[in-house]
Amino acid sequence: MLGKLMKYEWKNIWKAGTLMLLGMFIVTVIGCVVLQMPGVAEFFDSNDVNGVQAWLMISSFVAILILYVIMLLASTWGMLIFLGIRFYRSMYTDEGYLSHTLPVTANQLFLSKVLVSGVWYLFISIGIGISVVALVVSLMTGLLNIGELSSVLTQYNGNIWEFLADAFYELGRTYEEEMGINLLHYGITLFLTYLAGPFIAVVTLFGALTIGQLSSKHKGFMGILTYAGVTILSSIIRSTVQSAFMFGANVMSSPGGFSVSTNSAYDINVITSLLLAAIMYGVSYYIMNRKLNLD
Amino acid sequence: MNNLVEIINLTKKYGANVAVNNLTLNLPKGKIIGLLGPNGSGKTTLIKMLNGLLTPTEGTIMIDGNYVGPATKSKVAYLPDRTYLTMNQTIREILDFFQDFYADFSRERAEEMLKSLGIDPAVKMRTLSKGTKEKVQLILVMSRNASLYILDEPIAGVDPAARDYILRTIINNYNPEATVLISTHLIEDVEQVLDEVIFMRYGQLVLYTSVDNIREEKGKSVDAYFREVFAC
Repeated sequence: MLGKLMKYEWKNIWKAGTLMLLGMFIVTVIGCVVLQMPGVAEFFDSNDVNGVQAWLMISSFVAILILYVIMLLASTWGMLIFLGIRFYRSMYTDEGYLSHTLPVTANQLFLSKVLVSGVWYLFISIGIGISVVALVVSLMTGLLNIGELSSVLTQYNGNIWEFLADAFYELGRTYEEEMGINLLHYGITLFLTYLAGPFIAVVTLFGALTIGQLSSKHKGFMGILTYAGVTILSSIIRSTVQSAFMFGANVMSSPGGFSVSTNSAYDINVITSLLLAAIMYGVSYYIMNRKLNLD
Repeated sequence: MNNLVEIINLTKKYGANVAVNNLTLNLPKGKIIGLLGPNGSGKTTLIKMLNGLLTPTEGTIMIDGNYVGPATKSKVAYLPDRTYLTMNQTIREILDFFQDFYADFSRERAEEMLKSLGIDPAVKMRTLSKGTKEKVQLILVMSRNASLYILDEPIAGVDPAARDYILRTIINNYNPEATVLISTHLIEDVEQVLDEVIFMRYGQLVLYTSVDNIREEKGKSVDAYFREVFAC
Protein backbone atom coordinates (compact mmCIF):
# COMPACT_ATOMS: atom_id res chain seq x y z
CA MET A 1 0.00 0.00 0.00
CA LEU A 2 2.91 2.37 0.65
CA GLY A 3 3.94 2.08 -2.99
CA LYS A 4 0.42 2.87 -4.19
CA LEU A 5 0.15 5.86 -1.88
CA MET A 6 3.49 7.14 -3.15
CA LYS A 7 2.39 6.66 -6.76
CA TYR A 8 -0.69 8.86 -6.28
CA GLU A 9 1.23 11.40 -4.22
CA TRP A 10 3.78 11.65 -7.02
CA LYS A 11 0.98 12.19 -9.55
CA ASN A 12 -0.32 15.08 -7.47
CA ILE A 13 3.03 16.82 -7.10
CA TRP A 14 5.05 16.23 -10.25
CA LYS A 15 3.42 18.93 -12.38
CA ALA A 16 4.03 21.75 -9.90
CA GLY A 17 7.53 20.45 -9.13
CA THR A 18 8.46 20.21 -12.81
CA LEU A 19 7.14 23.73 -13.44
CA MET A 20 9.36 25.09 -10.67
CA LEU A 21 12.41 23.28 -12.03
CA LEU A 22 11.59 24.58 -15.50
CA GLY A 23 11.32 28.13 -14.16
CA MET A 24 14.66 27.71 -12.43
CA PHE A 25 16.21 26.42 -15.66
CA ILE A 26 14.91 29.37 -17.69
CA VAL A 27 16.21 31.95 -15.17
CA THR A 28 19.58 30.19 -15.06
CA VAL A 29 19.87 30.14 -18.84
CA ILE A 30 18.97 33.84 -19.02
CA GLY A 31 21.58 34.57 -16.34
CA CYS A 32 24.26 32.59 -18.17
CA VAL A 33 23.45 34.27 -21.49
CA VAL A 34 23.58 37.74 -19.95
CA LEU A 35 26.88 37.02 -18.24
CA GLN A 36 28.41 35.84 -21.50
CA MET A 37 27.10 38.66 -23.64
CA PRO A 38 29.70 40.41 -25.79
CA GLY A 39 31.08 43.40 -23.94
CA VAL A 40 30.58 42.12 -20.37
CA ALA A 41 34.17 40.99 -19.94
CA GLU A 42 35.48 44.13 -21.62
CA PHE A 43 33.37 46.27 -19.31
CA PHE A 44 34.88 44.65 -16.22
CA ASP A 45 38.33 44.86 -17.75
CA SER A 46 38.16 48.55 -18.66
CA ASN A 47 36.91 49.73 -15.23
CA ASP A 48 34.92 52.36 -17.12
CA VAL A 49 31.94 53.06 -14.93
CA ASN A 50 30.74 56.11 -16.76
CA GLY A 51 28.44 56.49 -19.73
CA VAL A 52 25.25 54.92 -20.98
CA GLN A 53 26.80 51.54 -21.74
CA ALA A 54 28.12 51.23 -18.19
CA TRP A 55 24.76 52.24 -16.75
CA LEU A 56 22.98 49.65 -18.90
CA MET A 57 25.51 47.00 -17.94
CA ILE A 58 25.18 47.65 -14.22
CA SER A 59 21.39 47.81 -14.45
CA SER A 60 21.29 44.47 -16.27
CA PHE A 61 23.54 42.90 -13.68
CA VAL A 62 21.46 44.19 -10.77
CA ALA A 63 18.23 43.09 -12.47
CA ILE A 64 19.63 39.61 -13.10
CA LEU A 65 20.88 39.39 -9.54
CA ILE A 66 17.50 40.46 -8.11
CA LEU A 67 15.65 38.06 -10.43
CA TYR A 68 18.00 35.28 -9.44
CA VAL A 69 17.60 35.86 -5.69
CA ILE A 70 13.81 36.04 -6.10
CA MET A 71 13.93 32.81 -8.07
CA LEU A 72 15.96 31.09 -5.33
CA LEU A 73 13.57 32.26 -2.61
CA ALA A 74 10.49 31.46 -4.69
CA SER A 75 11.81 28.00 -5.48
CA THR A 76 12.67 26.99 -1.93
CA TRP A 77 9.84 28.71 -0.07
CA GLY A 78 7.37 28.32 -2.93
CA MET A 79 7.91 24.58 -3.07
CA LEU A 80 7.71 24.23 0.71
CA ILE A 81 4.48 26.27 0.81
CA PHE A 82 3.03 24.25 -2.07
CA LEU A 83 3.92 20.97 -0.31
CA GLY A 84 2.44 22.24 2.96
CA ILE A 85 -0.82 23.29 1.30
CA ARG A 86 -0.99 20.03 -0.61
CA PHE A 87 -0.41 18.02 2.60
CA TYR A 88 -2.95 20.05 4.59
CA ARG A 89 -5.60 19.83 1.89
CA SER A 90 -5.24 16.10 1.36
CA MET A 91 -5.14 15.28 5.06
CA TYR A 92 -7.20 17.78 6.99
CA THR A 93 -9.86 19.24 4.68
CA ASP A 94 -12.67 17.46 2.78
CA GLU A 95 -10.13 15.40 0.83
CA GLY A 96 -8.93 14.05 4.20
CA TYR A 97 -12.22 12.14 4.41
CA LEU A 98 -10.94 9.96 1.59
CA SER A 99 -7.29 9.82 2.74
CA HIS A 100 -8.20 8.74 6.28
CA THR A 101 -10.74 6.12 5.20
CA LEU A 102 -8.30 4.28 2.94
CA PRO A 103 -7.35 0.83 4.22
CA VAL A 104 -3.82 1.95 5.12
CA THR A 105 -2.02 2.64 8.38
CA ALA A 106 -1.37 6.16 9.62
CA ASN A 107 2.34 5.46 9.25
CA GLN A 108 1.98 4.51 5.57
CA LEU A 109 -0.11 7.59 4.89
CA PHE A 110 2.31 10.02 6.55
CA LEU A 111 5.47 8.29 5.29
CA SER A 112 4.28 8.32 1.67
CA LYS A 113 3.76 12.08 1.82
CA VAL A 114 7.09 12.71 3.54
CA LEU A 115 9.05 10.57 1.07
CA VAL A 116 7.52 11.97 -2.12
CA SER A 117 7.51 15.59 -0.91
CA GLY A 118 11.06 15.18 0.43
CA VAL A 119 12.28 13.85 -2.93
CA TRP A 120 10.75 16.82 -4.76
CA TYR A 121 12.22 19.27 -2.28
CA LEU A 122 15.58 17.55 -2.78
CA PHE A 123 15.19 18.00 -6.56
CA ILE A 124 14.66 21.72 -5.97
CA SER A 125 17.79 21.86 -3.76
CA ILE A 126 19.83 20.03 -6.41
CA GLY A 127 18.39 22.36 -9.07
CA ILE A 128 19.47 25.39 -7.08
CA GLY A 129 22.94 23.90 -6.59
CA ILE A 130 23.34 23.25 -10.32
CA SER A 131 22.01 26.71 -11.12
CA VAL A 132 24.52 28.43 -8.81
CA VAL A 133 27.42 26.41 -10.23
CA ALA A 134 26.27 27.20 -13.80
CA LEU A 135 26.16 30.93 -13.09
CA VAL A 136 29.52 30.96 -11.30
CA VAL A 137 31.18 29.02 -14.12
CA SER A 138 29.55 31.29 -16.68
CA LEU A 139 30.77 34.41 -14.89
CA MET A 140 34.28 33.05 -14.43
CA THR A 141 34.52 31.90 -18.02
CA GLY A 142 33.90 35.46 -19.08
CA LEU A 143 36.14 37.12 -16.52
CA LEU A 144 39.05 34.71 -16.82
CA ASN A 145 39.41 35.45 -20.48
CA ILE A 146 40.30 39.09 -19.94
CA GLY A 147 43.36 41.08 -18.99
CA GLU A 148 45.70 39.71 -16.37
CA LEU A 149 43.25 37.03 -15.30
CA SER A 150 43.54 35.33 -18.69
CA SER A 151 47.10 34.34 -17.82
CA VAL A 152 45.73 32.30 -14.91
CA LEU A 153 43.52 30.29 -17.20
CA THR A 154 46.32 29.85 -19.70
CA GLN A 155 48.05 27.65 -17.12
CA TYR A 156 45.07 25.32 -17.36
CA ASN A 157 44.90 25.40 -21.17
CA GLY A 158 41.58 27.20 -20.88
CA ASN A 159 39.99 24.36 -18.88
CA ILE A 160 37.72 26.11 -16.39
CA TRP A 161 36.82 22.85 -14.57
CA GLU A 162 40.45 22.02 -13.91
CA PHE A 163 40.94 25.52 -12.60
CA LEU A 164 37.92 25.19 -10.26
CA ALA A 165 39.10 21.79 -9.02
CA ASP A 166 42.46 23.31 -8.13
CA ALA A 167 40.83 26.32 -6.52
CA PHE A 168 38.62 24.12 -4.34
CA TYR A 169 41.58 21.91 -3.48
CA GLU A 170 43.51 24.97 -2.34
CA LEU A 171 40.53 26.18 -0.35
CA GLY A 172 40.23 22.77 1.30
CA ARG A 173 43.92 22.68 2.11
CA THR A 174 43.65 26.10 3.78
CA TYR A 175 40.66 24.87 5.79
CA GLU A 176 42.41 21.71 6.84
CA GLU A 177 45.99 22.87 7.49
CA GLU A 178 45.56 26.43 8.63
CA MET A 179 42.17 26.28 10.34
CA GLY A 180 42.36 22.64 11.48
CA ILE A 181 38.97 21.67 10.09
CA ASN A 182 38.64 18.00 9.13
CA LEU A 183 37.63 18.28 5.49
CA LEU A 184 36.41 14.68 5.12
CA HIS A 185 34.29 15.07 8.23
CA TYR A 186 33.00 18.40 6.93
CA GLY A 187 32.24 16.89 3.52
CA ILE A 188 30.31 13.98 4.99
CA THR A 189 28.22 16.15 7.32
CA LEU A 190 27.59 18.64 4.51
CA PHE A 191 26.47 15.82 2.21
CA LEU A 192 24.22 14.36 4.92
CA THR A 193 22.73 17.78 5.64
CA TYR A 194 22.11 18.38 1.94
CA LEU A 195 20.56 14.94 1.45
CA ALA A 196 18.52 14.77 4.67
CA GLY A 197 17.71 18.49 4.84
CA PRO A 198 14.70 18.42 2.47
CA PHE A 199 13.18 15.44 4.28
CA ILE A 200 13.75 17.07 7.67
CA ALA A 201 12.12 20.26 6.36
CA VAL A 202 8.96 18.48 5.16
CA VAL A 203 8.66 16.31 8.29
CA THR A 204 8.92 19.46 10.43
CA LEU A 205 6.29 21.26 8.33
CA PHE A 206 3.88 18.31 8.08
CA GLY A 207 4.36 17.55 11.78
CA ALA A 208 3.58 21.17 12.71
CA LEU A 209 0.43 21.15 10.55
CA THR A 210 -0.61 17.90 12.23
CA ILE A 211 0.01 19.34 15.70
CA GLY A 212 -2.22 22.29 14.68
CA GLN A 213 -5.07 19.77 14.41
CA LEU A 214 -5.10 19.48 18.19
CA SER A 215 -6.55 22.98 18.36
CA SER A 216 -10.34 23.20 18.40
CA LYS A 217 -10.44 26.29 16.12
CA HIS A 218 -8.30 27.80 13.34
CA LYS A 219 -6.40 24.55 12.90
CA GLY A 220 -4.50 25.63 9.80
CA PHE A 221 -3.36 28.86 11.41
CA MET A 222 -2.32 26.98 14.55
CA GLY A 223 -0.30 24.65 12.33
CA ILE A 224 1.57 27.61 10.81
CA LEU A 225 2.20 29.07 14.28
CA THR A 226 3.46 25.69 15.45
CA TYR A 227 5.84 25.55 12.48
CA ALA A 228 7.23 28.98 13.32
CA GLY A 229 7.51 28.02 16.99
CA VAL A 230 9.23 24.70 16.30
CA THR A 231 11.69 26.33 13.88
CA ILE A 232 12.64 29.07 16.37
CA LEU A 233 12.79 26.63 19.29
CA SER A 234 15.01 24.20 17.41
CA SER A 235 17.41 27.05 16.52
CA ILE A 236 17.58 28.11 20.16
CA ILE A 237 18.18 24.53 21.33
CA ARG A 238 20.86 24.04 18.65
CA SER A 239 22.68 27.22 19.66
CA THR A 240 22.38 26.39 23.36
CA VAL A 241 23.79 22.88 22.87
CA GLN A 242 26.64 24.23 20.75
CA SER A 243 27.45 26.94 23.29
CA ALA A 244 27.24 24.51 26.20
CA PHE A 245 29.59 22.16 24.39
CA MET A 246 32.09 24.88 23.52
CA PHE A 247 32.20 26.51 26.92
CA GLY A 248 31.82 23.29 28.90
CA ALA A 249 34.77 21.68 27.19
CA ASN A 250 36.83 24.90 27.16
CA VAL A 251 37.45 24.28 23.49
CA MET A 252 38.11 27.91 22.68
CA SER A 253 40.98 28.25 25.14
CA SER A 254 42.55 24.88 24.43
CA PRO A 255 45.03 24.28 21.56
CA GLY A 256 43.19 23.69 18.31
CA GLY A 257 39.99 24.77 20.02
CA PHE A 258 38.57 26.49 16.97
CA SER A 259 38.79 23.41 14.81
CA VAL A 260 37.31 21.18 17.51
CA SER A 261 34.39 23.56 18.05
CA THR A 262 33.76 23.98 14.31
CA ASN A 263 33.79 20.22 13.66
CA SER A 264 31.50 19.59 16.62
CA ALA A 265 29.15 22.37 15.47
CA TYR A 266 28.50 20.48 12.22
CA ASP A 267 27.82 17.27 14.18
CA ILE A 268 25.49 19.01 16.60
CA ASN A 269 23.62 20.59 13.69
CA VAL A 270 23.08 17.22 12.00
CA ILE A 271 22.18 15.40 15.20
CA THR A 272 19.70 18.02 16.45
CA SER A 273 18.04 18.23 13.01
CA LEU A 274 17.62 14.46 12.83
CA LEU A 275 16.36 14.41 16.41
CA LEU A 276 13.81 17.13 15.62
CA ALA A 277 12.60 15.22 12.57
CA ALA A 278 12.26 12.01 14.61
CA ILE A 279 10.25 13.83 17.31
CA MET A 280 7.96 15.51 14.76
CA TYR A 281 7.41 12.19 12.98
CA GLY A 282 6.59 10.43 16.26
CA VAL A 283 4.21 13.18 17.38
CA SER A 284 2.43 13.15 13.99
CA TYR A 285 2.06 9.38 14.11
CA TYR A 286 0.59 9.60 17.62
CA ILE A 287 -1.88 12.35 16.68
CA MET A 288 -3.04 10.58 13.51
CA ASN A 289 -3.52 7.32 15.44
CA ARG A 290 -4.94 8.57 18.73
CA LYS A 291 -6.09 12.16 18.38
CA LEU A 292 -7.46 12.53 14.85
CA ASN A 293 -10.53 14.78 14.77
CA LEU A 294 -11.52 15.92 11.28
CA ASP A 295 -13.97 18.82 11.19
CA MET B 1 -21.61 -13.71 16.04
CA ASN B 2 -24.44 -12.05 14.11
CA ASN B 3 -23.55 -8.46 14.98
CA LEU B 4 -21.56 -6.58 12.42
CA VAL B 5 -21.04 -3.46 14.50
CA GLU B 6 -20.59 -3.41 18.27
CA ILE B 7 -20.52 -0.05 19.98
CA ILE B 8 -19.87 -0.01 23.72
CA ASN B 9 -20.17 3.03 26.01
CA LEU B 10 -19.17 5.38 23.21
CA THR B 11 -18.72 9.02 24.16
CA LYS B 12 -17.43 11.98 22.18
CA LYS B 13 -16.88 15.33 23.86
CA TYR B 14 -15.81 18.66 22.36
CA GLY B 15 -14.73 20.51 25.46
CA ALA B 16 -17.85 20.75 27.62
CA ASN B 17 -20.14 19.81 24.74
CA VAL B 18 -21.08 16.12 24.60
CA ALA B 19 -21.84 15.09 21.00
CA VAL B 20 -22.29 11.37 21.67
CA ASN B 21 -23.08 10.30 25.20
CA ASN B 22 -22.35 6.80 26.49
CA LEU B 23 -23.89 5.06 23.47
CA THR B 24 -24.13 1.29 23.41
CA LEU B 25 -25.49 -0.26 20.24
CA ASN B 26 -25.17 -3.43 18.17
CA LEU B 27 -25.98 -3.50 14.46
CA PRO B 28 -26.76 -6.84 12.78
CA LYS B 29 -25.67 -8.04 9.34
CA GLY B 30 -27.90 -7.80 6.30
CA LYS B 31 -30.13 -4.86 7.27
CA ILE B 32 -30.83 -1.40 5.92
CA ILE B 33 -30.88 0.85 8.96
CA GLY B 34 -31.95 4.48 9.12
CA LEU B 35 -29.99 6.69 11.51
CA LEU B 36 -32.47 9.43 12.32
CA GLY B 37 -32.48 12.43 14.57
CA PRO B 38 -32.74 16.21 14.58
CA ASN B 39 -29.77 18.47 13.88
CA GLY B 40 -27.05 18.15 16.49
CA SER B 41 -28.27 14.76 17.68
CA GLY B 42 -24.83 13.17 17.10
CA LYS B 43 -25.52 11.22 13.89
CA THR B 44 -22.58 12.55 11.89
CA THR B 45 -20.28 12.36 14.93
CA LEU B 46 -21.17 8.68 15.34
CA ILE B 47 -20.63 8.03 11.63
CA LYS B 48 -17.24 9.78 11.68
CA MET B 49 -16.15 7.67 14.66
CA LEU B 50 -17.24 4.50 12.82
CA ASN B 51 -14.97 5.57 9.96
CA GLY B 52 -12.00 6.54 12.10
CA LEU B 53 -12.25 10.25 11.27
CA LEU B 54 -12.90 11.15 14.89
CA THR B 55 -11.27 9.64 17.95
CA PRO B 56 -13.77 8.66 20.67
CA THR B 57 -13.31 10.27 24.06
CA GLU B 58 -14.38 7.02 25.69
CA GLY B 59 -15.73 3.65 24.64
CA THR B 60 -15.01 1.21 21.85
CA ILE B 61 -16.21 0.38 18.35
CA MET B 62 -15.75 -2.99 16.70
CA ILE B 63 -16.68 -3.73 13.10
CA ASP B 64 -16.71 -7.37 12.06
CA GLY B 65 -14.54 -8.20 15.07
CA ASN B 66 -11.92 -5.50 14.49
CA TYR B 67 -11.28 -2.17 16.15
CA VAL B 68 -11.51 0.77 13.76
CA GLY B 69 -8.38 0.76 11.60
CA PRO B 70 -7.10 -0.42 8.21
CA ALA B 71 -8.90 -3.78 8.57
CA THR B 72 -12.32 -2.16 9.12
CA LYS B 73 -11.69 0.51 6.47
CA SER B 74 -11.24 -2.21 3.87
CA LYS B 75 -14.76 -3.43 4.69
CA VAL B 76 -16.59 -0.14 5.15
CA ALA B 77 -17.80 1.89 2.17
CA TYR B 78 -18.39 5.45 3.34
CA LEU B 79 -20.29 8.23 1.61
CA PRO B 80 -19.68 11.46 3.54
CA ASP B 81 -21.95 14.50 3.56
CA ARG B 82 -19.43 16.41 1.41
CA THR B 83 -17.38 15.99 -1.75
CA TYR B 84 -14.14 14.27 -0.78
CA LEU B 85 -12.76 13.70 -4.28
CA THR B 86 -9.96 15.75 -5.81
CA MET B 87 -11.54 18.24 -8.20
CA ASN B 88 -8.70 18.33 -10.73
CA GLN B 89 -8.86 14.58 -11.36
CA THR B 90 -10.88 12.90 -14.08
CA ILE B 91 -13.48 10.31 -13.12
CA ARG B 92 -11.32 7.69 -14.81
CA GLU B 93 -8.37 8.59 -12.59
CA ILE B 94 -10.62 8.31 -9.55
CA LEU B 95 -11.79 4.87 -10.73
CA ASP B 96 -8.11 3.86 -10.98
CA PHE B 97 -7.59 5.12 -7.44
CA PHE B 98 -10.51 3.13 -6.00
CA GLN B 99 -9.48 0.04 -7.93
CA ASP B 100 -5.95 0.30 -6.52
CA PHE B 101 -6.94 0.74 -2.89
CA TYR B 102 -10.16 -1.23 -2.44
CA ALA B 103 -9.93 -4.93 -3.26
CA ASP B 104 -13.74 -5.14 -3.21
CA PHE B 105 -14.23 -2.38 -5.83
CA SER B 106 -15.97 -3.47 -9.04
CA ARG B 107 -14.83 -1.20 -11.87
CA GLU B 108 -17.25 -2.83 -14.29
CA ARG B 109 -20.19 -2.02 -12.04
CA ALA B 110 -19.03 1.59 -11.63
CA GLU B 111 -18.56 2.04 -15.39
CA GLU B 112 -21.98 0.56 -16.09
CA MET B 113 -23.65 2.97 -13.67
CA LEU B 114 -21.74 5.93 -15.11
CA LYS B 115 -22.79 4.89 -18.59
CA SER B 116 -26.44 4.54 -17.56
CA LEU B 117 -26.32 8.14 -16.33
CA GLY B 118 -24.47 9.37 -19.40
CA ILE B 119 -21.47 10.54 -17.36
CA ASP B 120 -18.24 10.60 -19.37
CA PRO B 121 -15.36 9.12 -17.32
CA ALA B 122 -12.90 11.33 -19.19
CA VAL B 123 -14.22 14.56 -17.68
CA LYS B 124 -12.73 16.26 -14.65
CA MET B 125 -14.70 16.36 -11.42
CA ARG B 126 -14.64 20.15 -11.31
CA THR B 127 -16.66 20.35 -14.54
CA LEU B 128 -19.61 18.44 -13.05
CA SER B 129 -22.67 19.93 -11.36
CA LYS B 130 -23.15 19.44 -7.61
CA GLY B 131 -25.79 16.76 -8.16
CA THR B 132 -23.63 14.85 -10.64
CA LYS B 133 -20.65 14.97 -8.28
CA GLU B 134 -22.84 13.42 -5.59
CA LYS B 135 -23.98 10.73 -8.01
CA VAL B 136 -20.36 9.93 -8.96
CA GLN B 137 -19.45 9.59 -5.28
CA LEU B 138 -22.44 7.35 -4.66
CA ILE B 139 -21.54 5.19 -7.66
CA LEU B 140 -17.98 4.78 -6.34
CA VAL B 141 -19.21 3.81 -2.89
CA MET B 142 -21.93 1.45 -4.10
CA SER B 143 -19.54 -0.25 -6.54
CA ARG B 144 -17.73 -1.74 -3.58
CA ASN B 145 -18.68 -5.15 -2.28
CA ALA B 146 -18.41 -3.96 1.32
CA SER B 147 -19.66 -5.43 4.59
CA LEU B 148 -20.94 -2.10 5.84
CA TYR B 149 -22.13 0.88 3.81
CA ILE B 150 -22.34 4.12 5.74
CA LEU B 151 -24.20 6.84 3.87
CA ASP B 152 -24.35 10.26 5.48
CA GLU B 153 -27.21 12.34 4.06
CA PRO B 154 -27.08 10.68 0.61
CA ILE B 155 -30.21 12.40 -0.69
CA ALA B 156 -29.86 15.82 0.88
CA GLY B 157 -29.63 18.71 -1.56
CA VAL B 158 -30.71 16.81 -4.69
CA ASP B 159 -33.96 17.01 -6.64
CA PRO B 160 -36.69 14.36 -6.18
CA ALA B 161 -35.79 12.58 -9.43
CA ALA B 162 -32.18 12.29 -8.31
CA ARG B 163 -33.35 11.05 -4.91
CA ASP B 164 -35.19 8.19 -6.61
CA TYR B 165 -32.11 7.35 -8.62
CA ILE B 166 -29.91 7.39 -5.52
CA LEU B 167 -32.26 5.16 -3.55
CA ARG B 168 -32.58 2.76 -6.49
CA THR B 169 -28.80 2.65 -6.78
CA ILE B 170 -28.47 1.81 -3.10
CA ILE B 171 -31.09 -0.93 -3.20
CA ASN B 172 -29.89 -2.49 -6.45
CA ASN B 173 -26.20 -2.48 -5.71
CA TYR B 174 -25.53 -3.22 -2.08
CA ASN B 175 -24.25 -6.58 -1.04
CA PRO B 176 -27.35 -8.36 0.45
CA GLU B 177 -25.25 -9.79 3.27
CA ALA B 178 -24.02 -6.34 4.17
CA THR B 179 -25.54 -3.70 6.40
CA VAL B 180 -26.44 -0.24 5.11
CA LEU B 181 -26.55 2.61 7.62
CA ILE B 182 -28.28 5.68 6.19
CA SER B 183 -28.31 8.97 8.02
CA THR B 184 -30.96 11.41 6.79
CA HIS B 185 -33.51 14.08 7.61
CA LEU B 186 -35.70 13.10 4.68
CA ILE B 187 -37.40 10.17 6.38
CA GLU B 188 -40.41 9.99 4.11
CA ASP B 189 -38.18 9.43 1.09
CA VAL B 190 -36.11 6.62 2.58
CA GLU B 191 -38.73 4.96 4.75
CA GLN B 192 -39.74 2.55 1.99
CA VAL B 193 -36.27 0.97 1.91
CA LEU B 194 -35.51 0.75 5.63
CA ASP B 195 -35.62 -2.44 7.73
CA GLU B 196 -34.76 -0.80 11.04
CA VAL B 197 -34.42 2.69 12.49
CA ILE B 198 -32.28 4.30 15.13
CA PHE B 199 -33.55 7.52 16.73
CA MET B 200 -30.92 9.71 18.36
CA ARG B 201 -31.23 12.87 20.42
CA TYR B 202 -28.56 14.81 22.35
CA GLY B 203 -26.02 12.13 21.48
CA GLN B 204 -28.07 9.39 23.10
CA LEU B 205 -30.05 6.47 21.78
CA VAL B 206 -33.78 7.15 21.97
CA LEU B 207 -35.05 4.14 20.05
CA TYR B 208 -33.74 1.23 18.03
CA THR B 209 -36.43 -0.92 16.49
CA SER B 210 -37.70 -2.37 13.22
CA VAL B 211 -39.84 -0.37 10.80
CA ASP B 212 -42.49 -3.09 10.93
CA ASN B 213 -42.62 -2.76 14.69
CA ILE B 214 -43.34 0.97 14.48
CA ARG B 215 -46.07 0.41 11.90
CA GLU B 216 -47.69 -2.46 13.83
CA GLU B 217 -47.37 -1.18 17.40
CA LYS B 218 -47.76 2.54 16.85
CA GLY B 219 -49.94 2.33 13.78
CA LYS B 220 -47.88 5.09 12.15
CA SER B 221 -45.30 5.56 9.49
CA VAL B 222 -41.71 6.12 10.61
CA ASP B 223 -41.96 9.73 9.46
CA ALA B 224 -45.12 10.35 11.50
CA TYR B 225 -43.68 8.64 14.55
CA PHE B 226 -40.43 10.61 14.24
CA ARG B 227 -42.43 13.86 14.18
CA GLU B 228 -44.27 12.74 17.32
CA VAL B 229 -41.14 11.75 19.23
CA PHE B 230 -39.14 14.84 18.26
CA ALA B 231 -41.99 17.34 18.36
CA CYS B 232 -40.76 20.78 19.45
